[in-house]
Amino acid sequence: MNLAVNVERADKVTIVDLVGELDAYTSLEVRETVVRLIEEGARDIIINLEKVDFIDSVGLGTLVGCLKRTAEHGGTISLVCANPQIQKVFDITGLSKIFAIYPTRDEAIRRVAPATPSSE
Amino acid sequence: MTTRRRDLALMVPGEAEYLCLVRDLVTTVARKAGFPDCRIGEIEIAVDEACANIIEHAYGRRPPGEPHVGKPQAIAVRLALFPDRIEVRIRDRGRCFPPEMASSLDIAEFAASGRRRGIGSYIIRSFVDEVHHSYRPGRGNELTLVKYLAKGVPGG
Repeated sequence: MNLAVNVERADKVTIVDLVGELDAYTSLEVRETVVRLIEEGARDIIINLEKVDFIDSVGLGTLVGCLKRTAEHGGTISLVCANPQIQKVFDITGLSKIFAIYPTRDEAIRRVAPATPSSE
Repeated sequence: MTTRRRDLALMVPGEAEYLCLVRDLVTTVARKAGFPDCRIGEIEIAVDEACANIIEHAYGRRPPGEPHVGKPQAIAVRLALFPDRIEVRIRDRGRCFPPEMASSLDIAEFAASGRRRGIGSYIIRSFVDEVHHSYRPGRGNELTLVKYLAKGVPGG
């Protein structure tokens, strides 16, 4: 069991792709990654859970902590979730009302960083 | 009536890095027992939360990667498989830590504070059909989680 954390910086948004399981052991790396990204100036962050097959309350708490921290810096955290089991955990705990959750990575990018029409 | 049962047991150190081992056992056994995937995921997260509670509350939290001072304390997981249900008995030797009984969560408070208190217990109660806790001084906690094969059965 482990968790791979990959960061992709796009024009207006930073995407954190997670692969694996988000639990009491692996959550620390996610928190440290998001804290570092905020310190580096990232504001709108998408955490992609498409390839996460397990999350527990420590993982949820980590995501909430990331949400708080980005909000303190005027930023946002959005999630991508395609796994019904993980979506169920968000629904049961009520966190689906707190987070913006998108079904695909592309949709999250479109919604978080909409293309700015060229004005010139 | 169900009488035939099979038991499996696993003992792991009370450390977060072993949670995946417990989850793997539970999911493998539940799958072999014929549980549908959605209910396997529910028993998996309930057992994970119970073990994470032991690590954090009954034994006290130790940051990942930081070595134990002294002998690591163990978590014993015993699975009893019946034709209609799975019972997971989780024992530790820590301080008394009964799961909280909250029937709802204050998610706004959670989002504002980031404190997870009660969420693990709430998830456990949401995802299994029965929860039983006992504590014996000097022996520790025993938490039993029961999940039926199908919904609509006693306790389900």
